[in-house]
Parts: sequence; structure tokens; C-alpha cells
Amino acid sequence: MSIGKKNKKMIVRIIAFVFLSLLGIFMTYPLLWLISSSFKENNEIFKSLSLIPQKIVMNSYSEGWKGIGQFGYSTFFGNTFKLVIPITFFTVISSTMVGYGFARFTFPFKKFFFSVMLAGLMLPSSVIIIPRYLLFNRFGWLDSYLPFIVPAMFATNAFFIFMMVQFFRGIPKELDEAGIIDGCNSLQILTRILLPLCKPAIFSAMLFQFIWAWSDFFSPLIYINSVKKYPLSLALRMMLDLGEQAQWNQIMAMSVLSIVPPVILFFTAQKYFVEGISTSGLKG
Amino acid sequence: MRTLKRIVSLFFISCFLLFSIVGCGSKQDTESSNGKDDSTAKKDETIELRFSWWGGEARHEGTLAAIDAYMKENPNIKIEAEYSGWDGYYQKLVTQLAGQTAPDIIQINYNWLYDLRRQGKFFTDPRDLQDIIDISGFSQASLDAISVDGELQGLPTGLNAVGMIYNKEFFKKNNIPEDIDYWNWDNLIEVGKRVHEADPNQYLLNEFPNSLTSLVDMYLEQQDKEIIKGDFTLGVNVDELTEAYEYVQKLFDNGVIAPFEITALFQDKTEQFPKWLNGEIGMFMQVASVVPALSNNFEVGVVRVPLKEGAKSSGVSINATNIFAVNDNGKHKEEAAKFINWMLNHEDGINVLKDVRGVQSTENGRKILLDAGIVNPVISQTIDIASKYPGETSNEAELNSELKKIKYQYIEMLGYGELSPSEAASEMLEVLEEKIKELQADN
Repeated sequence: MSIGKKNKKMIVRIIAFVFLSLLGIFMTYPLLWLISSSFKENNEIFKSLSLIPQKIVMNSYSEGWKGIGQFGYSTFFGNTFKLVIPITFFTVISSTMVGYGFARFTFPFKKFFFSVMLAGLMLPSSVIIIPRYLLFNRFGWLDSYLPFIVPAMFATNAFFIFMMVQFFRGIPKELDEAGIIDGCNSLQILTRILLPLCKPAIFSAMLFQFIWAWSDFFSPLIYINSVKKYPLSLALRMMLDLGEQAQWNQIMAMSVLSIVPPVILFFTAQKYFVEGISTSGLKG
Repeated sequence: MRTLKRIVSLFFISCFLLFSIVGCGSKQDTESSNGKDDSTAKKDETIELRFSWWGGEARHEGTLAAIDAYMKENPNIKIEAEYSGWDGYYQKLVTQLAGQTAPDIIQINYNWLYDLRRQGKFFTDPRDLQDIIDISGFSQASLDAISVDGELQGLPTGLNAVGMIYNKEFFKKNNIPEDIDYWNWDNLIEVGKRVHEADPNQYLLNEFPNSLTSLVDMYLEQQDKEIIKGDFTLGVNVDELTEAYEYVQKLFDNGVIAPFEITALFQDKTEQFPKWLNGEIGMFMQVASVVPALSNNFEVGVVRVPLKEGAKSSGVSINATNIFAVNDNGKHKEEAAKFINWMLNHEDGINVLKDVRGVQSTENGRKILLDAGIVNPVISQTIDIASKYPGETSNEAELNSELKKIKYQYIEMLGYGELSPSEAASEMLEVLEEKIKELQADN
């Protein structure tokens, strides 16, 4: 009898394992296809769905890296870091500050400002594209990274503010009070008591912002004109025209490289990140 | 103590604010053009021109080489190249035109002309710069095709026309004659049926949903009819349109063209269409400029579009591949015009650019490239066939994006079998009539 039970368990386990493996392969297939396409010949890429190249091409990475004419991918990778790192850095700092303000202080019109901020969260970004464009044009910021970095300094992304506010609210006020008794001022309470407790939220904000900024196509398209300032998202599409055959294997190769940094960042920060998502809604 | 701290922190915050605004403001390396004419610029001053275009690798390299050559000849000119792929180019251009930050020289597509002109006068008529640009080499027809209400919007960079681009191997395998004048609307169905019956994976003709609307337009134009005339009135009645749609239905029923379920996914990714790559499609009714993308894996040829006996017009018009326009808001219109003239009329420019924007649009340009042996024979043959069997150029109604969308919706419903030809015809004409009224009320 007991053997039968054991066997049953085994069979259930095997079935589950096979099913999950198949599902995993199914989910990651597009990624695997992308990687395998970077080793295929151009005219083979769209012919078949197989992951094994008929003829392996090794030079698509080195050739693709050169880009065309004026600028290679070292420029585009450099640009993307120049753009994304400040955005992420400033967003995290400014959103933390603003979130702290909303969560722990009372000031006139607080409710009103909070609703205005939330309204900003509901607003589709396409609505503000034109006024923003005109404004930045007046400032003379077009064709530079300022339209991305300066708004990040002033916590213009309501999503992150809201996330931080929720997290701060979950931290007991008694801790702040203990800090005040020990002679902290409000900034010290933030840096010495709250920030160490907020690590998960900060990591989530950092990861989200990094990945969003990294793969953003539309804003760079609108604000950046000169090719030497192109980030990756523009560079990857700059060879695609309807009438010409593109070097697809090189584009695939560069796409593979372009997803490496966010992936590495994700896995190194995964521990904090998952914690951040799962606990940011809890009241401590 | 506390107030002191507050004052100090306020001071620091205001410093930070000031610094961030001023520090950013001083880095004004972008030109915010106010449309002032800067003709008083001294001769020895460097003039900066911005030039934007879209394209693939070959076009980028050719155009960059042309810019370098021109700057060598004219050391006082500096041309800033702003090139990209096709994705997003139009959205960006519209934003730039609205914000008055568009480049001095802009590559535009012919089917944007009317939509853009209705929003404002953005481009200088080259005839106003006649002492700089020589437009005598361009055929009147090619200039008319890119004029809006008699205003010339720019100059054609190259010529483009629709032809039947076919896979030579496929024709040999299926015993289809490669005679240029072979096709008419009846034998298209006969041969298509035969091909599909021989092998159910094979289809003679490829039509994506968006190109099938052009086929219907062509079919009607050969009977001297248009769905919408240039003056925005309907040019067909229900019976005539039903007949055209019944023909389309026949194409589907006999397996001449593949069902939309197979083709629709690839309509903007022609070069990725597996059926064509695997040699299971006989021909494409497509513009000449996509020949390079279609001839990736095998040899292609070109034949005339199907022609009705005694038709006055073939329904194929010679269009501009794309257009170089001078930004009417730019500061250096004359210098921009000089550069365009050099690219399109000057021997050096033509030799550097070669055929990256299709067949040269001037007689002289074609001759120069022919002598140099740099012409894609299939592309130039497509243009030759189109000039032998001319059709009318597209009118504003045909290029209007809203009316186009309606035609497209109904061809989809017909293709997916949701509507019968007669239902599609009568319903579409009703919807078109409504839309036309709306458009006229707007103008």
C-alpha cells in the first residue's frame, strides 16, 4: 500500500516537473530565439523557428559593435549609461525625500498636493508630451540629456513617490519618536533610522527606474537629435527601413548585449527587490 | 538655533535650485530657431545646417559620405546629420514642426504631404529659390506629384513605381511565362488557381491587407473609375464597387492570394515574410524601392501589373521615393537649397549618393549612374515599365489618412469573410460619404 502511495507521489512529481519545464521553455523561447538568431545567417533568421543555426556565423557581434560610419556601439552603450544612471540616482533620492515629506509631516494643503500628485499618476504620458517638448525647447535643453535628468531631480514620477509614501507609512512612528528623544533632527531620522529600514523599497525604485529608462524609446526619440547622443533604444532601430535589407543578425546580437546590464542588475538586486514588492503594502 | 538651521538649509536649497536651472541654461548648444533669416551672416563664418533622413545601412553610409564630400568642398558649411530608422520618424518630425525645431533639410515621404500642408506651411517652394536650385531636370509629372494646390513642397530624391516583382525560380518551376506584358485580370486567376492546386502551400500573388486596397484602386482606375475623386466626391456606385470586391473574393477563393491569417502579421515587415523567403510566393505587387529587401535570397525580375484590355490608364503612377524639403522656418534656407541642389543635380553629389534613394529623378542623373554601371536593373526596369504604361498620380483624397483607414477596414472585413462583397461595398460607401462630409466641414 505504502509503496503505491510513494509511487503515486513520484508520478505526480514527475508530471509536474515535465509540465513546468515545458512551460519554462515556452516562456523563454523568444529570448533563446533572439540569442540563436544572432548566430544565424541573415536570410535564415525569418525562415524557420528552429533554435539551431544551419550555419553558424560568429562575426555578428564584432561587426555589429562597429555600427555604421560615424559611431559604434561603445558610444551608444556609454550614452545609455550616461543617461540612465543619473536618472536612476536622482529619482531614488528625490522620490525618497518627497515621500518622506508626505508620510511624516503636516503642512498646509498637504491633502491637496497629495491628490495633485496622484492625479499625475493617472495622467497618460502622451498628454504632456507636447507641452513638455515646448517647455524644454524654450529652456534650450533639446538634444541633451537634461529633459530626462532634471525632471528626475524633482521627483516628477508619481509612481515612485507613492511607493515610498506607502512604505514609510508602514514603519512605526514610535521609531521616529525614539530618534527625536535621542536628539535627531528630521534629516537624521530619515538617514539614520528610516533609510536602513527602507532598503527594499529603494531597491525596487532603483530597479524599476533603471529598466524603464533603459528601454524607453519614445522620449529619447523626441528629445535627442544627434546620432552621437543616441542611447541604445534609438541605435538598435536606426538601421531598420522597409526598403532595405537590414543586417538582422547584427541587430539581434546588439539586442542581446543591450539586455545584459538590466538582467545582471536584476539578479544582483533580486533579494531586496522581491522583498520590496511583497512588503511595501504591509503595515508594520 | 533652529531658525538659523532653517535659514541655512533654505539658502542651500535655493542655491541648488538656482544652480540647476542656471547651470543647465548656460549649456545652450542647441539652436532654437525663431525663423529669423540670418542672411547677414558673414562669408567666413561657419554655417551649421541640420539634415534629417531615415533609411537603412546603405542609405546612411551613402548620405554620410555625401555630407563629408560637400563639407570638404565648402569648408564654411557644417552639416549635422540626424539619421534614424523608419520607426518613429514621422512622429518626431511632426513634433519638431510643431515646436519649430525641425532641421533645415528634411527627408519626407510623399504620402505625408497633404496632411502636413493642412497643418501649416512648413516647407519652402523650391521655385522660390530658383536661382540656387535648378529644377529644369525634373519631369513636370514628378513635380506635380509632390505639389499641394500648386505649391511645390520639395524635390523628388528618386523615382518609385509599383510593379509585379516576381521570384524567377518560382516562375520556372511552375511554367509561368516571364513575358513582361503577359498579365491581365483573367489569366491572373487562371494561373493562380493552377499554382495553388499544384501545391497548396504555394500562392501566385502576395497581397497584404494594406496593399490589397491599392490593387482595388488599380482595378477600378483601369475602368476609368476612382472610389473617391480628387474633389472629394464619390466616383463609384455600389454595383461597380461590388464588382471589384467580387474580383477580390475570387482571388481568395481560388487561392491566388494567401488568406489574411497568413499575411497580415507581416504587412510592415516585408523582408521577414517566411513564405516569400521560402519561395512559396510567386510575386509581389510592390514599389520598386523594396526590391533590395525582396531579392535577399534569390533572383527577382519584374513584369507589368495586370492590365485590362483597352484600359486608358494602368493605375500605376510614378512617385517620388521620398522628398528633400527645405524647412521654411530655417535660418539658412539658401545654403540648404545649395546642398540639395548639389545632391540631386551635381555630378559629384550624384556619384557619391548613387542609388541609395532609388532611381535618380533627373534625366542627367540617370545617365551618369548608367554610365558608371550603378543601377539596380530590376528597379530601373520597374520605372521603365511604369513610364510605358502610365497612370494618374494619387490625388489628395487618395492620400488622406482617414479615408485610407476606412478602405483598409473594409478590405479586412472582406478578406476575413465577415462581409460579402456587396455588403462591404454598400456599407463602405455609406461610411465614406459621412467621412467626406466631416472633412469638408473641417476645411
